[in-house]
Amino acid sequence: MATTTFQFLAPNSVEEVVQLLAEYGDRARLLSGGMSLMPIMNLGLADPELVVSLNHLSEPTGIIENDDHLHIGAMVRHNDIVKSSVIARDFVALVQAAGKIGDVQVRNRGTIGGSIAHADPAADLTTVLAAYDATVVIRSVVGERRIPIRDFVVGIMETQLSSDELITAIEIPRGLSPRGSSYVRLARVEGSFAIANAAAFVTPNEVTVALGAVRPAPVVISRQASGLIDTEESLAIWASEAIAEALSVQGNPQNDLAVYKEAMAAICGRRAVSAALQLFRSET
Amino acid sequence: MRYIGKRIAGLNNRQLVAGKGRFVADVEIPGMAHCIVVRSPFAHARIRSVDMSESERVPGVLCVVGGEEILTNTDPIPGSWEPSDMGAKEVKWYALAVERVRYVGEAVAAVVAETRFAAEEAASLIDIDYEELPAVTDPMQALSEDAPLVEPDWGDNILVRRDFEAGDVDQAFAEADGIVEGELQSNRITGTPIENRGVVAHYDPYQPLLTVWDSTQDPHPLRVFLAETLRISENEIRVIQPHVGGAFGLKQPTFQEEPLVAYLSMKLGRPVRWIEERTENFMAGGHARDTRFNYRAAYRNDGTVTGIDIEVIADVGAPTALCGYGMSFVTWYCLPTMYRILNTRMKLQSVVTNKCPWNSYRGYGKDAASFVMERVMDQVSKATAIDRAAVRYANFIQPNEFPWPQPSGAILDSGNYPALLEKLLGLVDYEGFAEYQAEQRARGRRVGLGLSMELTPEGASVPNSLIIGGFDGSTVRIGPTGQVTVLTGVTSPGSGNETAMAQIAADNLNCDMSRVKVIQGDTESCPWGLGNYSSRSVMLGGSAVEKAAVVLAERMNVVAAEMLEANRIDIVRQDERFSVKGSPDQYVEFEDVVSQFYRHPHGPYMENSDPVLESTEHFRIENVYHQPEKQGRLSTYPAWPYAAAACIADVDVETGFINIERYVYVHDAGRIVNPLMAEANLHGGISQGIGGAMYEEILYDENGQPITTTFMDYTIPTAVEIPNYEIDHMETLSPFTPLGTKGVGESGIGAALNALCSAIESAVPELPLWFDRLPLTPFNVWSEIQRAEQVTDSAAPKSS
Repeated sequence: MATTTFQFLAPNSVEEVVQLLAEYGDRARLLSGGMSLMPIMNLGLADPELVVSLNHLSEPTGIIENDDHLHIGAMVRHNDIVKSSVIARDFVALVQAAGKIGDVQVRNRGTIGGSIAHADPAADLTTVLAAYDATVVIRSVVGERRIPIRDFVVGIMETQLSSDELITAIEIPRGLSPRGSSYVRLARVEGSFAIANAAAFVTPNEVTVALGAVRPAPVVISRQASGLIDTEESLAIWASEAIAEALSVQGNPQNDLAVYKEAMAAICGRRAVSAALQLFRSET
Repeated sequence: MRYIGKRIAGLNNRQLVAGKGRFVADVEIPGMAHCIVVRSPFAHARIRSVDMSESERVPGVLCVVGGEEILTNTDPIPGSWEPSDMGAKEVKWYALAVERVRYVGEAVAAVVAETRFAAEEAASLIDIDYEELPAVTDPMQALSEDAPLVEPDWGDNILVRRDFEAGDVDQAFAEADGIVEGELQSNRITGTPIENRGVVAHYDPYQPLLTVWDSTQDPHPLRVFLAETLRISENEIRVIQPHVGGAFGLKQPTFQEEPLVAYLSMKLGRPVRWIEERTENFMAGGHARDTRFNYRAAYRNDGTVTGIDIEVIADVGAPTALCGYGMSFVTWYCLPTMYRILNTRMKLQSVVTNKCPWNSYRGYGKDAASFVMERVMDQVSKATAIDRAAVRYANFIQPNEFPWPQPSGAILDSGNYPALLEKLLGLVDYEGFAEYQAEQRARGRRVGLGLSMELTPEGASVPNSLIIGGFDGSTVRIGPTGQVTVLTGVTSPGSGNETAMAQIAADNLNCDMSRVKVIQGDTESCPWGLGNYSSRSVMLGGSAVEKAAVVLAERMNVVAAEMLEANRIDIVRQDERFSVKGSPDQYVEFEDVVSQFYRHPHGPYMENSDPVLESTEHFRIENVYHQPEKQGRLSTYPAWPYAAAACIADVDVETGFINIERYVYVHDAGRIVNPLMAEANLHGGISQGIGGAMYEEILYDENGQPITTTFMDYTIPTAVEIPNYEIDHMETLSPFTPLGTKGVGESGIGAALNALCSAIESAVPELPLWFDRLPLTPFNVWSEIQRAEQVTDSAAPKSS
């Protein structure tokens, strides 16, 4: 259990949150779903002076369709994504990924903003959002800024987020249709962190694969090509080769877990591409 | 019999499912204080000093204690048996470590405070000055000449060594058509009950009475052990077992925390509560099964195994008073399991290391014995190209050969191994599998069938032990309104045996089961008994219920005969009615007879009967031999249940992931009193077997720091991963219990180990896969596939 005292505040507006962050900086921690922060505090790995709950904010909670992008509020819970027909229609890999996070309790509480900010290398949503080339919307007292998710994660549980900033939303560009996407993960048991994960996104002019859990941030590989003319086999070969090149798989496979993880990332990537292509074809 | 053999839902189901069970953490007593245990952060260190001054200044702290105070005021924790009887060395283990710590997690100090929060804070402020000592964490290293010593006084790191030889092993190997050999390693695991350990102790100095609510399996022995450690009278202690959220052996007494919390309550004159956290349980709750085998087996071309030479090296962790290291002994003792191998050489070395001690865990070493023997059978099958089932048939002890004396001294009571395997093969459609496999192969799926037998002796009884004995007591009492109370010495730490007790009582009293209430786990009211371990509850406790109920039934028969003016031998009982043979219309009701005892003790029908409707009986099982000088053998297990499992699994050769399609399990534990509850137990046992086979592994780094201290790192299967089991029973009755029961609580766990190994090997027949190490994690399976592919590639002719 957490063994030190801390102050707890639950403001109603984003303005109040960013004011508190401006004042406390890294002495404050933001509590969204609490699915990572609470265990971390209970294990004594975080010792904040102030915990700011975002659970009473009214603003960053909705899923909104715009002309050029899909807007997902940072406080959207994983289960909201699972149940969203809007997301399922165009970005099914995100629904697949959200449905595999933790267990029912975790999905009911955990949020997309919290997951991204926590930046666990095996995070399911970050991999998918990297494949979709999503943008993270960030607020501070200075104003708002946007960072591509592909640049957002800079290390293991390290991001470009400053200690005075708050994620308010994720924006996924709509891009061309039809779209096919898929998420594949390998994990020991339901709810455990992925050994490797991959998301693939196929549009009429591009094939993208993002690989998670093998590097601090998702590894993104894409190819300007038409999924309409690529065969599944040629795409699979491309995916395998490109992933191998990107990860530079080497070492002794019999005792090196890192080698295994990379090999599994390649397999997840290849399987995700095949499934995404099939979906793309079915939409065509 | 109206109830025995019926699928009756657990009597506790409603309460537990509603979340209204009362576990130790639910015990609330006014004025209760909270205890936090400070544990060693080092695998091996000398305690130079313990500075409590800063800790004691935390507001709300009631006391802080270290090893010195415990050494002065308490005695060492009693062991489970006399170690010298087993040829084992021993240590003095106290409620807190004195002078030296031998593993990460050993209790060093404790804080009691008004709140858990204050106790946690104060615990973090205890300043312990350690001098780190060299640690030994690998059993092979521990056996080397220059290894650091876990116990410097011992001179080596061997807790117990056993050598045994029967027949002529050298000749068997010399005359063999072939020899298989190898090394096996089973993984270090733990039982992970949903509820961790926990104790609430409340000392009332005015009675005086120390009441201890404990998440334990064995309240009566714990009471004695507390009396011994705390130097008080047994009569001043009452141990109550509330609901227990799983134990699996881990809650056999006695832990450091049990006397520790009791001592603290006595010291403070306050109720004190200690509830364990999961991380503590992983570090200090006790481990199991970390065993290496070096083996050779001699065989003939017909698949008969004629000789076996097995060395067992068990890494039992640091020596304590816990009864876990006995598992290594049992592994050795069970060899060569259910096979008729007359030339056997068996060597055991139980090695101590600076890791968490072994503690009892479901399977108790029998699992590892089955693992090695089943691997041997599979290896002989591969070497001779004789079908796996055929090799087993060729080696089984035959049904007409019981009682079968094992070379180790054990006497296998009864069974029919070939019939059971035949039943299993029919259920799984063994004959049709090749066709199914080919069909699936054509669809790109690699499906294999794994096979394993399992021998799971039960009812353990060791000499000179207060905690492991082959007898148990029960009281049956019928009250004035005809309500029946059954009090047992056995307990139900999640196993649900109270339902079986009620069934046995109701059938023997010929009354409705709704009359029966079962009370367990209170030393103040229940007769002496050794609680729950080794599947003994129904086998021994249930037999005691039967004996006691038979006594009362007979007393009622006598009075009923008087009431019906009939001869006792002519009394017939059916559906709560006593009638005279041939005249069913002439009867008296159950309650009418009871009424004579309570309302008419001097009445006309009671002239030849004492007014007693209460009986306490103890049942002692035969087939236990504790007098080797006189009896020529030491035999500790009276009943020998056994089973066979077939597992159909598909293997993703690219990833090493395994999916169990079907898991068929047939077992024979004698008479099954309640098939529903037995199957519930088997579901748990098989699941824990699969957990140990595929998922679980306790890991330490080279310095003895535990790596797997949360469920994030120690993976157990959940309901999502577990397949739907297909379970069937066979009933070869025990000759030694009144109902023929043998015990089902540990069955299921042992067969899973080889069943999974052989399923994967069978799924990819083109590769020379051989699994000699558990667990079968995706990584380990994938690595073995990589190795086998390399071997196959380099062996294949090069095409240019």
